[in-house]
Amino acid sequence: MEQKSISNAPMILGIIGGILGLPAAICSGACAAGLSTLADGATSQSSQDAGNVFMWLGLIAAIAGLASAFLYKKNPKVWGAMMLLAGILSGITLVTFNFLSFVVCILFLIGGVIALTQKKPTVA
Amino acid sequence: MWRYIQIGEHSFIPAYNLFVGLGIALAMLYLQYEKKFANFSFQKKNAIHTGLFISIIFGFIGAFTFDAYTQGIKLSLSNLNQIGLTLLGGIVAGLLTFSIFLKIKSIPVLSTLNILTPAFCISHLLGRVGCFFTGCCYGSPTNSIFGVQFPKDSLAHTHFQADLQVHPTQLYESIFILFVFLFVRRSSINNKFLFYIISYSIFRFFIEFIRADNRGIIFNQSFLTPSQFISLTIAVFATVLTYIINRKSIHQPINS
Repeated sequence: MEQKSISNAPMILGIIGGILGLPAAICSGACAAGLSTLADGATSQSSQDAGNVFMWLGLIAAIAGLASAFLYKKNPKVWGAMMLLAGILSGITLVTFNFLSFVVCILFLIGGVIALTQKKPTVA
Repeated sequence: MWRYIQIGEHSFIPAYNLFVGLGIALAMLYLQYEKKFANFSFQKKNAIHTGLFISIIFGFIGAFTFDAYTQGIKLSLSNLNQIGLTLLGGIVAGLLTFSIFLKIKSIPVLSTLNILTPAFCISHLLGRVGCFFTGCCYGSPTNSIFGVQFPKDSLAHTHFQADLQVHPTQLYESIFILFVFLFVRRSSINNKFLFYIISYSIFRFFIEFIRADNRGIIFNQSFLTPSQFISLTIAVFATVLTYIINRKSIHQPINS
């Protein structure tokens, strides 16, 4: 039985993005907490909450991107869309001026686009 | 020895995460072209991919948890930057998760692990190269030709408070794993995974004697480091398993 293969690029990009996304999430949280202290009426609790929100956003993006990388060959359209979503979530954390999030966002977006343009593997 | 790879003036990429990511990515890429894996059915390949993803997540959790336990740090989100990763903790957690997953999916565990062994070696050796760039997992001071002097802001320099040359134990381990990779790729031994695990455990047990970073404590004793304890346990367990498997294959009836 012959199986048409699909590109491994989204897998590579998603894995690298996912692993880099872990420190990116921590950086986003720290940057968000730091930036929020500059706001009027900011308290330590509100800064901590802001940090936690962005950290969790980054972590969810990293894990979603990593899952998409490993699972995308099963259904390229679905997991490619998931990788794009992970890229968007990672992009949201860019408001914390975190360069690493930018790298992760780009990796996920490129990987997601390549995955979405793949045809589902067929078995001949 | 760049902990952070500088991009421009204010931006950087952490070297350790980059190399771990590269290692896992290259390992997965290698797997796609591995003959025996390529011959698996579509469903089986997807199941193994899913299992690998879940085991990587649990591997990271295991590595964090074990490091927090041996360093005596309470595991919480606010303490994440104080906690490192312990490779053996991650290996044990990841392997257990993967084995349980394969059992649930009714996929033969050991034969699958044998096929994945070269890929494991690739991610392992690149991860250790990442450790070298980060400057963690360093060795004790040495005047030998293998000694490496880490930069002033490195963990080794902070530890010794001096410009000393130390054993690059990260590179020793990478080179060892490279030899294991080359051997398992070319050899026709049946239990490649058990060979990898036993040989690494023995290597790790002995290299711990020249590791100088904070090893932590396990079971309130200082005779064996936590990694030596785990290495010994894994080596004994894997050796017994190898013996049992070889005995079973010897006593299997020959079909005429």
